[in-house]
Amino acid sequence: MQLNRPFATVTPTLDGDVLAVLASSEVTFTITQIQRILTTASGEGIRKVLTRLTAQGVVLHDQVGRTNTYRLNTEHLAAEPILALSRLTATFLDRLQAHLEGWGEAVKYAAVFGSAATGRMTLGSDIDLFLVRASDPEHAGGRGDPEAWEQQVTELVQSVTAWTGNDGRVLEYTEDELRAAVAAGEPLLSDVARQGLTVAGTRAWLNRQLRPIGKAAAARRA
Amino acid sequence: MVGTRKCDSAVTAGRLSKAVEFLDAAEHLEDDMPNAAGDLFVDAGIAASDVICCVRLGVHSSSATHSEAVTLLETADKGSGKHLSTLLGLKNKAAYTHQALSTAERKKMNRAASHLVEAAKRAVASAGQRPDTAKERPTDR
Repeated sequence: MQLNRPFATVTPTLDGDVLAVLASSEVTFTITQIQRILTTASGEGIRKVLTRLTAQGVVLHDQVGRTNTYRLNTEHLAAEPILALSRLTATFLDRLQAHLEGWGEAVKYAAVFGSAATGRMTLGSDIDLFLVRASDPEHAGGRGDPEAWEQQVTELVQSVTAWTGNDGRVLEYTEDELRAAVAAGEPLLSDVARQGLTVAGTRAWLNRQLRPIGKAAAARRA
Repeated sequence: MVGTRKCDSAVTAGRLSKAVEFLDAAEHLEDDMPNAAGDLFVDAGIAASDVICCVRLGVHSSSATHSEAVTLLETADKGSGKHLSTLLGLKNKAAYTHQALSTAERKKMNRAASHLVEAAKRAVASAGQRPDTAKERPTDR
């Protein structure tokens, strides 16, 4: 699936994209507004979609002066599943978060990065996950065993594929490895900090680990 | 919409980049320069709010009235308005008065800005970054 086009899981048509816009907010939209948000759709195409959806009762049409406005009919029987579809990205991130909570302190930080985080997914995109594992076995608790960790990561990747249909790709570091990567100036780490959607730990923690990268960059600029 | 400005994906991407930059700078300065950090938390929150509104509504606030900006954001993302309200409520103290921000206020601002930046990133992830088409459209007749 494409996290940036959640309705494409059930319909690849413009109807899904228009519903995604209407479901994102309870306000009324004009065709121009919807077109500005979708950018690639024609006004005529959007108008036809809205006419179809209005006939189904899913969309409410109103005319204010000479302007036509549209909004999702939240009382419609189909509104709940439509809203659930519109929230698929949030649902995915919540599931990941809940899954990783079960790992306890073994995981110091985790984030989704790459195209899934920047809204540029295509159907064949992998879902990139960044994981930092606690180096201190005390913090890793009973899960400090490398084999147990590996098993957890494998299960996580399988779950991501089951939830989305996309391959999960994990980039993992221990805290020690992360420090070494920071010292080596690994540029991918800055991308994760900038674009990543945090699902375990805090972004502030990651930034503290990465600060030497910023200092090195500043020194290079000087 | 009154008090709003239309935005395209170039605006969205630029504002998101600034939101992250302001937040990172604020966290970096937080301990040594708390008032400057406070001001940057506000900038981060405003930029992140613009991103959320651009993605969901196709416009961002251009109103000088704080309450209008908060209302627009709440329309685009339920629950986020209170975080922007927190930041705007402390903006004057951080930037324009002789008083220093307290540690509790600074932490509150950090939480609010972090929430908004994360919400902005999630909004972009779920709606995608679409190509620029800033052209004016025909009217809605």
